Amino acid sequence: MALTRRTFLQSALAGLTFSVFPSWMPRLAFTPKNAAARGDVLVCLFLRGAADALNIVVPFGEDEYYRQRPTIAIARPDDGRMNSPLRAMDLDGFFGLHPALEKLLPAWQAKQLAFVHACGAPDESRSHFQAMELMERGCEAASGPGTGWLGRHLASLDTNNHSPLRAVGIGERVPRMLQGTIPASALRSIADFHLRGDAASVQAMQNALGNLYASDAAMGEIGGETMNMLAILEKLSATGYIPRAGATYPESELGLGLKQIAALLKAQVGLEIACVDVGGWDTHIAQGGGEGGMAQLLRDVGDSLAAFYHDVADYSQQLSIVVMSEFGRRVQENGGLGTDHGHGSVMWLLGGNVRGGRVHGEWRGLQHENLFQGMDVAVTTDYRDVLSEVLVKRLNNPNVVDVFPNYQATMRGVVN
Amino acid sequence: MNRRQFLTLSGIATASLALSACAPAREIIKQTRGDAVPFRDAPIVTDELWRALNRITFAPRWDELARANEIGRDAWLEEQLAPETINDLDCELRTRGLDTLWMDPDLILNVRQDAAKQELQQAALLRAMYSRRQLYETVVEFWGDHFNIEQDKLDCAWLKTVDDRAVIRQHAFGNFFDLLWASMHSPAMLHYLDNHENFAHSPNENYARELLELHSLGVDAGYTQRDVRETARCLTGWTVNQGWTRGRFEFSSDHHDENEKIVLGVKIPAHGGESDGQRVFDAISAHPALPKFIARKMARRFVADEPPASLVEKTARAFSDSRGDIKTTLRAILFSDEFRNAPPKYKRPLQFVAGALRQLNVETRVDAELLQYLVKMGQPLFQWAMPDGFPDRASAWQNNLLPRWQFALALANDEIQGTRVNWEQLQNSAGDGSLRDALKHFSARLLGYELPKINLGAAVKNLRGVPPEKNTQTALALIIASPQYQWR
Repeated sequence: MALTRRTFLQSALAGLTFSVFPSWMPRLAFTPKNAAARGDVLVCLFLRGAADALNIVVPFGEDEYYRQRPTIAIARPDDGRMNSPLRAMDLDGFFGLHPALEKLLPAWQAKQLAFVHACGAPDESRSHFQAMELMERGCEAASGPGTGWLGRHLASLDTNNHSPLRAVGIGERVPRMLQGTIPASALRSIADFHLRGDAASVQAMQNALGNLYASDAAMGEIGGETMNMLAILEKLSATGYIPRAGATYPESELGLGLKQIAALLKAQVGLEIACVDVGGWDTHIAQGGGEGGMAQLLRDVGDSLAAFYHDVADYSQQLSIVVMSEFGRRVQENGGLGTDHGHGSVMWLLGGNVRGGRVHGEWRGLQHENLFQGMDVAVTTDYRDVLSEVLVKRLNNPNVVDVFPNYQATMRGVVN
Repeated sequence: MNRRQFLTLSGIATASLALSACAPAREIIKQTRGDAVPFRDAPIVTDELWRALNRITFAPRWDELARANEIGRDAWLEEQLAPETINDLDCELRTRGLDTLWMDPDLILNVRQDAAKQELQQAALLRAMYSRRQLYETVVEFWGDHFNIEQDKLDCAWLKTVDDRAVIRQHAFGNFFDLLWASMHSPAMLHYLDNHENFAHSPNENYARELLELHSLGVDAGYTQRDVRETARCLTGWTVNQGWTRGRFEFSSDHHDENEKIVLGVKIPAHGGESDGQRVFDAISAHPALPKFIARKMARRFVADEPPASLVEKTARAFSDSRGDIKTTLRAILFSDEFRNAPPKYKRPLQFVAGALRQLNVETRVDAELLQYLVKMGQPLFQWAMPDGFPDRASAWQNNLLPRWQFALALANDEIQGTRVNWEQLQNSAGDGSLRDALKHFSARLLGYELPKINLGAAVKNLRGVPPEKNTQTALALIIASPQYQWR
């Protein structure tokens, strides 16, 4: 017998009592195509605004890079004119990592961090909004399903997991990529996820709300989801969360967000997918180089991810982290010491089963004739290849044809 | 006396003027509010009227319902389309103390720069709540999203205040092309989308792209990367003064690209200087994609997430025929059958919060704590980072219910600093004091209909453990948190 959401809760929360537990709307009729044991927890970090791939994983072996970016290029690892904290950190003799990501270097050395360069989507609009929408829907055109690729992944795979925390969006909204038939809720803070008041009144209110929502066609699912999350998170927040010694999260939204994910992961409450957004990457002006605006953003990402990865080290074999952005930026810097919208980007992969310590993907170089429309990094690996491989090999989804419609994915060997 | 001292002094003078206006102001506020119809006398209106009012206001106050009931739906809409005929003294007095709303950019910069950000947020919520010019405020919010500017970017912290006043509010009910032209010259916009650093030797495409994609034509209009590039070249040198008149628009000919350009098929001859901007504006204005793009977006706001093609067509025609007259365009929507039969729209957080406060005639100063609820619900005012503005589709908001439930409880229990429910007024009209009665009463007032018996019965059963003296609060919280109240 498959667990229903209700029986899941009763078993997961034996310690909690419910005077009246509403009977939730039956799940909208659909049958997952496949059943499988749960695979990795997937954390998907989206850098909103088109992060500049060339200054994240720096092709310091290319003279053209320095010719096109006289002001904002990241110095070569051996550039004696620059202080070492401002130079790229050598990865493989050709590519280097932005110095603000220094805390991720141990993961690279442990071969648990990889990059896929010149990676991206076929969309040529250079529009943030069209690119993000298509990427989050996993489509190539406006036609096609309106749901997100992660939403369809969840719907197509039965992992016998009925937790309301199977998928969460960290922050104030659930990103498009997670939208679909399986409800996912936004979660800003576990500690703040409760209703204030004396216990009896709050319980009565929850019961009353539960009934109202259960009988509402449009809001029944999300109402039930929220109610179930309240029950689980109340228990979690009561005990508080103490990260593993040595895991120091920055006091940033991202740091705090990843800390919530770590708490959920360790509490074993059924988390499969967590999405986090980080904004601020649309660096048309004053992008900076080894230091400056973008360096600060990268330091936050690097420090936060490193803290998270250290915090959940015991789970690293069942964890995949993907970092992506809607497209990359122009090779040539502009007059405002920034970069305009480009094409090819870079994806990051972090986890115990990542084929790490390598920069994957075909690199064609930055010579004019090798660039997309003569100005941007050409896409040589479709982002759907990378995501498909992670879903198939790490999340046990045998069939990604529904996740990325009309696309035949190629396995690129980025994870085991 | 140097410039800074002078400005500081004149700033103080302004502030004390506002202060001295306070005491009599209270009296006037009292008088202007005296005409409010008591809660219990709120009229029972038709569904059609309720829906119309709920859609073009942040949720109707009961005296607005009474007025509309009296003069009829169409007359009430026409009245809202003529905001200058509506006395708005109450709202004006409540926002009077927010000095930065009225100051010149120099003065804000020198005297009240730190206050500007929060004062504008407060003003937006106060106006949504207390203004009687509700359609106007709704349209102001619409254009604020369309020409989104994030306060946290560079000088936008204080320049957005100027944009709000001189661009958005100035032209919200005027002509779209005047609005677009004003926005092209808005120092806040030029900062926000980096055009203040758009130089001849290496153009910055950020503003040019969003001008075409988000402000006028839409991504599917058929323009190319080359059009974006050429538009950016036309707007090189369009910048913001950083010196004596810091924060004013400025054309810097030194940084302008004087070579020939071709934008959307229109040749723009060399040596046009600042007038290149006019040529670009003309080319955009003449583009066939523009009316439909604007019409669809307005129809989405007022009618449905995916507005019917018939309505978009009609609205675009009204826009074209009137050469961008915003009121004419609005009329095409508001007097359409599609609007009359519009399906429910999910409330965005500002509509949810301001609406609840309006319907209950709540007194609020709009302290930081109230604004923080909007942050948690996902609508931090003037702080949407991406240039597309806050989303206008249910799917972007629906999965974040808990903060709305928290707000409902906090409001009903008077736990929000600076915000108080007028219980005397509400209780006087809440019937026999029983929970069932309170639920019937609040659902009728807030939803426009009484909760069905089956829901009422279940709710009363679920809430039986609540102390009777808390019946009113409990009923109020439940209705505001209910699934029904999330839609309008």
